[in-house]
Amino acid sequence: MRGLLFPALAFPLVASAPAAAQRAEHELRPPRIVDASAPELPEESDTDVEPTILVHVVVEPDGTISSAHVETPHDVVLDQAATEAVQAWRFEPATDNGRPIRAAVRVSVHFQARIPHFDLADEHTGFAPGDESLNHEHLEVDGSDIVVFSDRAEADGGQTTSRSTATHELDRAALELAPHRDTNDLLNTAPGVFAARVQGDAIASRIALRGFDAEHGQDLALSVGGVPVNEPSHLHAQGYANLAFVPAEVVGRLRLREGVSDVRQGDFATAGSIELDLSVARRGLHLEAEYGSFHTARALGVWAPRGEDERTFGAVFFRRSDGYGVGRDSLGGGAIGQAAWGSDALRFRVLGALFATRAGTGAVLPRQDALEGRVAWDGVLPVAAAQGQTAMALRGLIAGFVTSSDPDGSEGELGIWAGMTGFRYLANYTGYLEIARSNPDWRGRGDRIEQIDEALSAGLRAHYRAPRFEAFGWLRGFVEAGLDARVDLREQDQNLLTATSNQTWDARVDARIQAVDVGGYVEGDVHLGEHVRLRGGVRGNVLVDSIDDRLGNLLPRFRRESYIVGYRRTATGLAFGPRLALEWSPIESLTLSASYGEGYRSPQARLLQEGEPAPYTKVWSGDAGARVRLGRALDATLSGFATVLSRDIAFDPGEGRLEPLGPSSRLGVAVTARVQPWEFIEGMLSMTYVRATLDAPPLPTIEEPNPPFVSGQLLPYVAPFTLRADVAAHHTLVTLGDQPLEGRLGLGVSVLSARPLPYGEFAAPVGLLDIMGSLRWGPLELGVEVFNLTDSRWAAAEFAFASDWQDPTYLNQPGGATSRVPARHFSAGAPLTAMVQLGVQL
Amino acid sequence: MSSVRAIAALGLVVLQLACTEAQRQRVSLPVVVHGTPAEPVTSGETTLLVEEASIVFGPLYLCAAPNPDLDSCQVALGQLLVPGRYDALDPAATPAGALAGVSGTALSAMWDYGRSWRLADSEPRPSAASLEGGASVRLVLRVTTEFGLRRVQIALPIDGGAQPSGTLAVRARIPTLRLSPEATRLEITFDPNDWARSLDVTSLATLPDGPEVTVPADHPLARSLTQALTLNALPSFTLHTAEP
Repeated sequence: MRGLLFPALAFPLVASAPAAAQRAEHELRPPRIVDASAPELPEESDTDVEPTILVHVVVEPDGTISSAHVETPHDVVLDQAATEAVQAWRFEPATDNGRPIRAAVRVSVHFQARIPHFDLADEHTGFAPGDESLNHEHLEVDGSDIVVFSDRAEADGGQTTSRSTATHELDRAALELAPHRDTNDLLNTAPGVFAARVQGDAIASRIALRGFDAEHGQDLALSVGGVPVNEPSHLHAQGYANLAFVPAEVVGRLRLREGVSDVRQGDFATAGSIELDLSVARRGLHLEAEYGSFHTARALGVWAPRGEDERTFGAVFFRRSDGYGVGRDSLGGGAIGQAAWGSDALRFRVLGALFATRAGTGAVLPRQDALEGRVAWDGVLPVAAAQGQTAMALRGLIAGFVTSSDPDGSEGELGIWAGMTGFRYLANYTGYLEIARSNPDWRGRGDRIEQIDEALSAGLRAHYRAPRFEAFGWLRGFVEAGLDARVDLREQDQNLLTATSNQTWDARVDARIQAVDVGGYVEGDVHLGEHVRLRGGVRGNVLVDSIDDRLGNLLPRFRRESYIVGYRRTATGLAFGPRLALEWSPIESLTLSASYGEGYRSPQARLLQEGEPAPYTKVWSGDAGARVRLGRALDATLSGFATVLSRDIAFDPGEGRLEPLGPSSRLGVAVTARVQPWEFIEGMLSMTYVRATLDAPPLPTIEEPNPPFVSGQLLPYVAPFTLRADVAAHHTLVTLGDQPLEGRLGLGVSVLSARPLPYGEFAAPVGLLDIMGSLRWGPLELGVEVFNLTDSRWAAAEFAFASDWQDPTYLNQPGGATSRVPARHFSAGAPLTAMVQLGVQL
Repeated sequence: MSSVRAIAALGLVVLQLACTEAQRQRVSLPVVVHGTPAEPVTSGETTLLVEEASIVFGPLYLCAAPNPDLDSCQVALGQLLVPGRYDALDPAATPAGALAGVSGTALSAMWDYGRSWRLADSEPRPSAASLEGGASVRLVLRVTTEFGLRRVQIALPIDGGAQPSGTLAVRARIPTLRLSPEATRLEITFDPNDWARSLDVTSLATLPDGPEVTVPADHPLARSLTQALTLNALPSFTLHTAEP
């Protein structure tokens, strides 16, 4: 032992302009150190100076420390020694009018040779921009400042974070518990979410969440850095949302709101919403190379300039793979960057991203053919029409946000964004069943669907939160008003292509859509006494669609031409609904909550008629439950929920897109738990059981004018039961040279029960186990990730539909006759996949 | 690894059992074909008696749409894919395979007589069950007229060949059939006497003389038989359901 570590006293974080008046209104007292032992200076540290390390500490109301991290990492040994030292300290929690509250402070850990020393910091320093991720609000107390958690976050539009059972925030540590292929896969970490890559790298994941088959985003509002990702009226799937343009390494926080209870939740938030905040904790230059199964190679570079806000970074990434099975090769890459700067009073953030990828989508196979060995599980039918199924995705995005805060609690934000997306998809689900509508004599050329969707979009969001008010000594809170708006200009085509020559032999969609969606809200957020919090407000949205349906009023061949094909139309609609959430914390560790909200999902514009009031899908959503939070040791929720939709939609493989289904409802229960029994191990578990039913007969079709219906009929594609578990452990294994060797193990388990399919079929249940291990020594990191460790043969998606692959070399029907009865089809999930990563942090 | 797999498999089986609940259901039921004994059919001075009636039947599709065609019956409620050859004069029940499908109400049907023109094919193709020469039907009639007795034989291919590819030979409304797991069997009954009633008897006079005559496929008599089997004298369908 070469010396002793001597902690210096915490010095509170400095606000930009503390208001003396607040001292009178709020008797806020900062956390106070009551016991700071003097840990040893690591022997391996060869420093000959007396360094001071600044450590950010979050002190819970019970005095425990829930987070400690070095402000500016510099020396691995000293940094680790400092955080370990601080975590051993004991604090008296901050108080608000005598009530213990959660608060963050910055403490200086001063290394002094062999002489233990406590020192009150006598300087106030500016609050480091990177610390804004702590969701702080600055209040001056007794001449010093503390950071009191008021659950504010600039990135989500000033939204308050609830302690209700329907809200889950996952920080970077939670997101890194288990391995994740990419950001789409990262969604699996969110409680109740099951996301699976079905059609390769260029197509968004299929997402399931508490009774919703959210498809590619139709029922889940997704945003990245405050920018909405869902695409209204997308040809492939309403609310289509592909997160592939974001490397998982730059996602700093995931915020899941289940159900509809917050006025900020807009379009597509029917099952809930997920917001991803972008930040990079490890500052400096990080280079990473990855190689593994199926000749998959990935390169990543992240530059996070030291001394800058955590949200300031730039990243480039590239990925190529032969893909598993047949027809799943991919090549793509992108760049994303964000810069944040400013003072607490005025903060700025800009975000930009470019992304492109092209990938084979594999194939959707008749399950019976795969089971009987006529085609490999992850293969492609040996038929010309089944070859070359691919997808391409493009995205460009730029956004800017400015946020102002005043010490009186008022806050305003204005953000604008603009983006372009490109999408092309070639797929054949049904083989040879289609007949050209433009010329019914053209038939039998293969059902290869080509979908093209290109969009230019722009939007803004703004909100203003009035100064905090207090009345009667027991009532305090905020009032906030906000708006968000977007305009989309979308071109879309759907055609049938001949199998090998790619000649267009039928046109199904040729349309241009202009859409404007403007929403606004007002919300009150009040605390009634010390234990009750009530949030409530209303939200309204106006939608205007203009559709140039160039194939509308298609002229049947048997009719004499008496008009010109095409149908232009406009439609407007209004969605309006209240949101209400009540939280009651009888004791600090327990919160009982209930919420109710009415949300909406915009319609696929092309399905609207002239002058039709845009038939939003109306959502009625309610939650009730309890949350127990015991510091970092346990954060658990138990909740029940109910959701009713006025009109649901489901995937139609024949057209390769979503089609109307009818009203539906969900009733379920969810359990989540995040535990950290010891510092070196952490885990998360979530289980959801839901009964999702169709409430009225499905809409009649030409094929089925009287669709069968029984009360309690299960919704297709919805798994009643989902389970997700993430566990990770880390420890310093040994010290090599002057650097500790840190080891880390993690695993993720996903379970999805059998899912009902159309026509009375059921998809097989899914169980997946992913593991990871890594070693970190100084700037070097070596990791191994194994996905689907048990090499389970599983279906990433299953459907039930009729297909017929008429080919002399592949006659899967007895007697060679065309099969028209629906059968189970599937898209193979990835088999065992191992990846080795080598990273260096400079 | 194997134990991990076994545990995972067991868990998934439990999940499968715990969470499944059917609404629309799979249906599979036997199909039997009945013929009808011959009886004299009189038309003016001419009496016809069917001496032999062989028919190839299938594939069969039961459709929910009231007016079946390839667009409205792209997805069928039930199908009998394998064509079979039957004696249409034999009243006994002849097994014809299994009708596979899903529960629902069938209002129409499409079928072929052993020759199918699939969408991607360049022409109709006979099935393995087809009669000699790829025929769909073979009918031998004993024709009695004022001029005496003669035997007339007709063997015909019947398919959707006059229509674009993919078209089935017959697309017809049928009495409502409610397919359900309780359905025990589907009976298809042919009545060659009906076929005989639909024949263009006046065209017999244009046939060559002789006690045994084979009718050419383009003869009006043959055309009237095709019309009988595709429009006027269709088989009947009866669905039997178990008593509750």
